[in-house]
Amino acid sequence: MKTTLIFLFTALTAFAQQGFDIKSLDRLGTNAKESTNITLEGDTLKLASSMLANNKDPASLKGMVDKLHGIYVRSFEFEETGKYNQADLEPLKTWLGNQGWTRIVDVKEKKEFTQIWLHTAEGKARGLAVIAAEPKQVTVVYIDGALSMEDIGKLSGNFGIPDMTFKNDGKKLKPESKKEE
Amino acid sequence: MNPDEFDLEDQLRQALQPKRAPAGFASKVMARTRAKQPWHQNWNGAITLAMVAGLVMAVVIPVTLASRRQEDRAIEARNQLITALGITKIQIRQVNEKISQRIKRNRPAL
Repeated sequence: MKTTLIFLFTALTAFAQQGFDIKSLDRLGTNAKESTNITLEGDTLKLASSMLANNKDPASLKGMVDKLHGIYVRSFEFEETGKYNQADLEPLKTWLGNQGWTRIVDVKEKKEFTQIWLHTAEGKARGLAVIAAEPKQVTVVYIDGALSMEDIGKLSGNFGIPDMTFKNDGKKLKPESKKEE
Repeated sequence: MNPDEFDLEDQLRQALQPKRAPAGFASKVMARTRAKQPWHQNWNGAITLAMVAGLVMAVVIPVTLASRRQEDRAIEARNQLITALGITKIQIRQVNEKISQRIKRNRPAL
């Protein structure tokens, strides 16, 4: 009996540690007008990286992409509201929470919300996830791999995005809004 | 010895004496030999050449196609990567704008 329980616990722990099956989000787009499904991992990601400019500029994307294990995007746009179920995002949120990811941003408005999750280990970012649910659009971005603060800065700044710096207070990474001018 | 035997001996010696081939004999023989070669021997060289060319093509064409396919895959992957990072950028920008608007709304009037 004790052995069975130990085996069951080990199996459940192993299952919980497995990566989230991003394909399970595809059903969100059943009624979508437009879909973007991107899965880049392993050799495909290396192939994509090989096409990026190979320079030593710290702002170059290649340096960042080379450290990643995978980039997954599911984005669906709908003609009308109510064409997808926000509850379908719950398994992902639960999984992220169970895996020790930190929800660093959670903005809720009337019928929409945006969350940014960060996975850290030994004080370093190991993954970034963005979940944005609007009445007529839902987007999930899941980036698996080592990301430095500079890399996150690149994602939020160097592509023409307003600066969004992250402050590490030793425990959690918090977004620090740019000061109003 | 019989004089007839002498005569026969001379005749034999004369008959067996090595004679020089007439001028151009060798080239005439070679020309005739070449002319009499069966058709498949004449085509051997061409067939061998065609086979070598075919083999080269059989190797070069698939390698070129595979290389082009790999390049297409790389371009497609690069485009997907740029799209993925672009979508990430937009989402972060939107959430940043929402936070900024909220800060503005909640800021106490001076």
